[in-house]
Amino acid sequence: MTKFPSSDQDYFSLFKIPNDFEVDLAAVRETYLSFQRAFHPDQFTASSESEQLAALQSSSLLNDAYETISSPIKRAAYLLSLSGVDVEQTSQNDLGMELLVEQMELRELLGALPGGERGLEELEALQVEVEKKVASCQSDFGVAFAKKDLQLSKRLYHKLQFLFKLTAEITEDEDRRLGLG
Amino acid sequence: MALLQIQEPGIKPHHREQKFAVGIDLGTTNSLVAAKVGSVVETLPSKDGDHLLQSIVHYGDGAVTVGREARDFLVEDNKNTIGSVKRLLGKSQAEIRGFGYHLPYELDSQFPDGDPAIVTRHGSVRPTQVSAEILSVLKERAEEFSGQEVDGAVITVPAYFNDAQRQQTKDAAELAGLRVLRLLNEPTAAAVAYGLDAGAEGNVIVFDLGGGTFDVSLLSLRNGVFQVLATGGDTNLGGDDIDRLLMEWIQKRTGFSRDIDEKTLVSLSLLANSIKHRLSLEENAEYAFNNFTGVITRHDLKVLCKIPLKKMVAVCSKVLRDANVKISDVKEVVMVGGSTRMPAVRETVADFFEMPPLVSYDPDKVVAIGAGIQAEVLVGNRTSDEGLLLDVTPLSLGLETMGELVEKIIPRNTTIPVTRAQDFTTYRDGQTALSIHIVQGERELVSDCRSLGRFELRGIPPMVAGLAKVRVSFQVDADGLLSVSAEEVSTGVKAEIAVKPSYGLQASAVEEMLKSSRENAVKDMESRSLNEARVDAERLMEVVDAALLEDPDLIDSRELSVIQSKRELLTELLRVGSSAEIKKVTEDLNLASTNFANRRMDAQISKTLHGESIDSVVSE
Repeated sequence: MTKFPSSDQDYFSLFKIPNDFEVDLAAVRETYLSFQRAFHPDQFTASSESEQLAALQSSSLLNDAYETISSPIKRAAYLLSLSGVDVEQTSQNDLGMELLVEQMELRELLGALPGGERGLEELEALQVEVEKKVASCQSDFGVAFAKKDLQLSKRLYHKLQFLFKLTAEITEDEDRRLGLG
Repeated sequence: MALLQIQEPGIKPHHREQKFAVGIDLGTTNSLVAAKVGSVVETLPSKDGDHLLQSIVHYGDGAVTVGREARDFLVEDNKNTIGSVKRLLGKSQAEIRGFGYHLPYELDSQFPDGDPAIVTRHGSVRPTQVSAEILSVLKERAEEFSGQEVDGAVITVPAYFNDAQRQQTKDAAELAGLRVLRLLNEPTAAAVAYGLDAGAEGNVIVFDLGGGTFDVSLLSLRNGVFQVLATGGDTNLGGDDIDRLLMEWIQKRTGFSRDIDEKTLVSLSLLANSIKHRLSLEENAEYAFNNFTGVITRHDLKVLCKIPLKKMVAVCSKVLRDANVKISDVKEVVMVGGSTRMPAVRETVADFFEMPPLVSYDPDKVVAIGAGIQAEVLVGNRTSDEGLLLDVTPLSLGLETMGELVEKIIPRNTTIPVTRAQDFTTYRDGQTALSIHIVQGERELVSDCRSLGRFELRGIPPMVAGLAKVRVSFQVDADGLLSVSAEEVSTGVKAEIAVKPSYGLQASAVEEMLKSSRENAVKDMESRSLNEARVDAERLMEVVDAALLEDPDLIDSRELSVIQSKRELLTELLRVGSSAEIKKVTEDLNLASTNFANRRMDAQISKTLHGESIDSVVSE
């Protein structure tokens, strides 16, 4: 009888890595794939119904775990929730004036871009700038979390959330300009 | 074409015989069955040596025939000769009427459960039954060929098939007496056949254009892992549609009026189909119709196909974007499906991907062979140290929430199998049941998505609005099929699941959904904002009304008239106002009733302090 991975453990212990923001994505992927090779429903079509059900659940768990760990924003949220921080609740303290102002400025910038070729170039330049901010915010989060400064981490997480939303809006804008969709 | 040397499993118990498993490509135009022959997986021929079985079913005077024999009856017995039935799977009568073209056979009013009914001399038949006839023939073919009974089959479906279409494919298989090992996405099946043969690594695009459906999948092939990164398509786009464009063109050219009898319609479609095929082999094709003869060139056809070709390119773009992969990162483009033989299609693909597509695999057979390879693994004949298939769900899945909005639970291109749960709560005080409406699609409003089913969770203990916690779990299995369950967390009351397939909504085509989702992103946000404003307004009005009923003596006539006038204005705005207007007046009503609310609060507190419980004071 196969021993299936348990849903009692958190995703980090599932992948046998420490609860850090910094992860070796290549290693996590290898672990994920080797687990899927062992526990995917395709491996159990000739087995008992209970094993098939266990396989379905395990494989789903692995997919969720992998998606959470390999996405920086999801990983950040997950780490915070494991530390007892409620990421759904946002208060004024979490956002801070600076962040709110930055959000508004970037949004205005996006909204004010002209149409046509020049607008597209400026859009791409904005995208590069936002990508840099994302990278530095992620790195700041890693540092803050490692120091166990949960309040700062939460604040940086919300900043990251905003930046990811902005990235999505930029991509959509680009799609519209290119007539994709 | 022989593709793969399959290794015999290393250790195998002697007493256990090799099970006989097959792969089946149930296509719109042609169907095939493949199995291991010797040490290689191959498609199996009929007694006449044909590997392809035309997906045409004829309900004759005595017997039911399938394939080439049935095709002969297309013109003379059009009402009883059913082709392209795959187009009808998972669709309602209303959706089929909305196709925009005439079917040569007759659809009666539907069966009680919503299945469309095709009228034949054998009585009314469902699309699943017609499909089962095709599957039966393939099953027989396999059993005659091998002398063994079929233990299980992997059946392929377009990656873009929704839940209803998948379920009906499975139903058809069961009707035909086939045990379904897995529903496998067609592009993934093709990738398996290609990948194992070529031993290739890297990002591969599978471009699958069949008779009735179109899929594009981007897969990453690495170390024997086939992972779908993103998929897109159109379940209403294929060679048949190109035939129809040709038919219209011929009609115009030959001066034929719009009203055309059904037999002539079928003849015309056969002519168009033959022209299309000829133009894949030659630059020009002569044709004769309605006492008119003419010539059509390959270029003419390409121009005629401008819109479908544009659609195909748009889908390719979207798939690359969804996966965040650039054209330069794509290693190979594999062409699958008979319609990819068209030079216009190959040129378009070569232009877009900046490389010649791979056409050396028989586009008609590669899907069945991939399915056959996977069948060997799933039935237990072959250990799968090598192949691991990780597929995705093609469309977002969600629930209807207050205000007819969609809450997405599982976004498209999520790796399956997947389980997600979301907590919902009650809207009104004392609410004891929750209606759960499951939809598939990318839009914000329920009415713009495809309805998959409804069920009710009853027996929620009556509580204050917002207190009950109902956890709804979505599970998509490896076949891409959805199951939903619901549970009220505090009491453990579970869903009374009576899933009613809902075909009532006007379901747009799958690609229409994604396309209009983009176009309508801005409009949708406004709709969502309006609905949210309406919900808040209605809730406030309910609260104010209840308060006025309970404590009429705590309010003076002046306040009352202000509250009433705001309330009237709000009622009017709910009908015709914008979200901004509604929000403003809701806020006004809130302010106007603040003092009244405070007085009520004080009164209740003071009553408590004087020893009376609040429950006895607040009347039901």
